[in-house]
Amino acid sequence: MMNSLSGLRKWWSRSSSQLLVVLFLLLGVLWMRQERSGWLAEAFYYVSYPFTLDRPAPEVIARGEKQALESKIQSLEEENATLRTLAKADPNIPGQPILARVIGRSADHWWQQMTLNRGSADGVEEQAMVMAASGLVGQVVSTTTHTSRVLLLTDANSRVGVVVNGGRVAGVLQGMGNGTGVVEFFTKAVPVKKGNLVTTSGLSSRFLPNLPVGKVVSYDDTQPPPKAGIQFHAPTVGLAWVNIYPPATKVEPEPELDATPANKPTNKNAKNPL
Amino acid sequence: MLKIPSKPQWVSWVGTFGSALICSMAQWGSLPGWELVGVNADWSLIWVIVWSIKRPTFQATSAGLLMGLVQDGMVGTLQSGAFPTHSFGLALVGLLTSLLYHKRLLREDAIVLVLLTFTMTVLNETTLAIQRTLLASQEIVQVWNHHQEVALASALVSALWAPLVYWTAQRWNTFLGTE
Repeated sequence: MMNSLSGLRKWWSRSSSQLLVVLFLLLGVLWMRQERSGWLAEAFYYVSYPFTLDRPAPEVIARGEKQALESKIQSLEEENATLRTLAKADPNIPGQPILARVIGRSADHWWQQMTLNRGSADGVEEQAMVMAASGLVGQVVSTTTHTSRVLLLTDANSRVGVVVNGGRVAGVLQGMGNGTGVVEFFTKAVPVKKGNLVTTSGLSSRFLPNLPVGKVVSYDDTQPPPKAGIQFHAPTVGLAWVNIYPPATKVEPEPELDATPANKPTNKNAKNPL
Repeated sequence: MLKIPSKPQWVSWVGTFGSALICSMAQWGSLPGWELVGVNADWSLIWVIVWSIKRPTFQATSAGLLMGLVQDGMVGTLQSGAFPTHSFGLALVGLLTSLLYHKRLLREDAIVLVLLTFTMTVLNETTLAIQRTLLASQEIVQVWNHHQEVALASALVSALWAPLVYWTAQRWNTFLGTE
């Protein structure tokens, strides 16, 4: 008994300082984790600042916009031909976008995220919609003063209500964690084929309806829920510039006709008119 | 030979925290040429390995645990609860590295370090894959396919960059006068 006690005391006197240091650090790190490493993101903003002084090349924006317009035209034509009665599709997203640069990506190989160099000081809110020139990218899940973190549509935890325009079939789009996505349809045999365009559905509360997402590259109805493989319009690798739009929940259902054009980049201090 | 005087304790602490933060932030970074097929090196893991080489098991395991929690915060694991956590994997990496060197099962040179980093990266990615399998938030086939894609590329690129961190750490220790 005495031996084990003195052994314990010896062990304590030898390693108490180490234990205390580790406990102290553990508390600090847990706090940091609770705060989602906010100040680390802030520090990263300043470290990466020298690399973010470039502007997006005009031709890159133009190419992306052309692609977006083409896909918009195609989707509108399809809609027009099949359903003349559907008159409400308004491709403009209300609210002024905040142009942001991608300064970081996911801190491990399992999540599909990116860090942007605009944060709450620039008016970015949680759940804001993030668009590349060619299509929807994801949603802001947290912000710090100067940065915001985006969960991409390609993440395995991301689920979005979508419609495939060819037959106006509704389904749920899930990311595959590796840059592609899969739509699971609610009904059995669905008229979906390769090349059909995928847009967000009106049922999704996280995004506005009719935002361009991607196109169908494969279709499989051999197993009960029919599935379609999706290629996203917006590239996930090498994406440098995105627009942040106000959260879908904060947008009025019917925007004014004289609203500012959605694709126009504004300066970072511009106030959201809505 | 000239004896280098050892520096005060706080200099050593600054080096430890500074390097840990730099390695954590490097996880976010994506400089061209630093990656392989779009997969970045696992800088936190490299840091844990280099830290653990000459340290007692307790310190090595704790360091892995702490670095894992920092990484959790950086990917916002909280949004889906406390798991999957990076702490398991990195604590295990710290523990094994420390034990292997402590028992003198490994020599201390760059080649051994490269091979060790390769193995440990695969181990670390596997702990993440197992957690995701248990959580069942996505299809199991999908998890292990992704594991296959990521573990190999990450292991290769991490092993390539590990000597850089190791060499920097050695220079730092020489500067501190502890080597």
